[in-house]
Amino acid sequence: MRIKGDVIYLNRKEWAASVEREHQERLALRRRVERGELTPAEANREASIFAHVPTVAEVPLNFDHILRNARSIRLAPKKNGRRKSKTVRA
Amino acid sequence: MADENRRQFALEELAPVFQAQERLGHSCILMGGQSVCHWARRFLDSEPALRELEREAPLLSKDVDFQGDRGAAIAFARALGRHAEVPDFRHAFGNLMAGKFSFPVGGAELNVEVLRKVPGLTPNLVIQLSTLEQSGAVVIRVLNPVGVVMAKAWNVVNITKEGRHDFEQLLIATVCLRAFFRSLFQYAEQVPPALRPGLKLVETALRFTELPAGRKAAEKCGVDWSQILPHNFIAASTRPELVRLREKRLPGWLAHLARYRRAVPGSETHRKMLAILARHAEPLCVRSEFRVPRSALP
Repeated sequence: MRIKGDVIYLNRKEWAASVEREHQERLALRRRVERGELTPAEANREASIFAHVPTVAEVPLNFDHILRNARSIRLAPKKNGRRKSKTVRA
Repeated sequence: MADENRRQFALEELAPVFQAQERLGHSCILMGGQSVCHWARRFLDSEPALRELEREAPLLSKDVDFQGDRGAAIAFARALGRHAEVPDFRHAFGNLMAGKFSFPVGGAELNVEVLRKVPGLTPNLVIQLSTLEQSGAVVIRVLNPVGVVMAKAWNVVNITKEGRHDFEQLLIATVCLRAFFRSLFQYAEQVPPALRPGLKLVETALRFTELPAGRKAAEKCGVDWSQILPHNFIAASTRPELVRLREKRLPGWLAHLARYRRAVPGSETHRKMLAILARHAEPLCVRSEFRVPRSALP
């Protein structure tokens, strides 16, 4: 195997081995779908070039973003404090 | 128009729609039924009640709703190769719809609706209660569980239409909210400065349940608002802020909620869902003598 930049060059034997490996992986996924361990959609995702895509539950909650937005929540009632004090002065 | 026979969509099927939103820089916020499904999936493992509720009301929705303006709706449709129907000048007044279009998903037409506002929330609150979340391989901008509960409660109180699933979704959202607050408090154990803004979210939710909208939602669908908090966690905590919440704020809040007349639901599904929620309810963190007995009420 030779790697040049982003391209991987395989000889005939390595190519045949990689095709066989992919075939076996696909068969294994198919068996898992038949056994009910995966839904077809999940199997498709696993077979994709992006490999493992974490489920929603696996990713930690984005608390940084949630709390940054929550900081600006105003709980005190809005009042015209300054205007009132000006009225008293006048 | 709600139609009972329309195909329902799971969140995973909407990947192309969310990818388009990602390309557009998240100009719209996911709301409605699909946002409930998203949070339910997130907390499925940590809240056993959700597994049982899922069997009664599957985590599916007939369409997908977003909050955004007219320009965002047009760009959204264009990004998916569709054309958005936007209300003209005559019909725009008093109409929440910013634009809508349909998109083929798995052999069926998915209706994508972009609303100018989230009913029940002020525009400012929509921004404050939205967050960026990882959903599978894409990042979505979605209302957090506090916003979802407030919006769903508004729908329950104000929309009476056949074929809607607001009751079921509100009940699921309340369980998600409890799980959300629990994770928030757990996070604050590791990152102490996170507790103060987190308590702002808690206070927002508590105040909402004390409003007429909260009372009417309880009267209409029998939701038990006292269960939106992780009482076990709050009871065990020694953080001064949480002790103050437990001893100063919650007794009054629970006394207020005790006055609500909670509806006995008519449908079998609602009754089963409320039974599941009652079975998984956490014992209140406040001592019982703080609660107003029913006999003492007028």
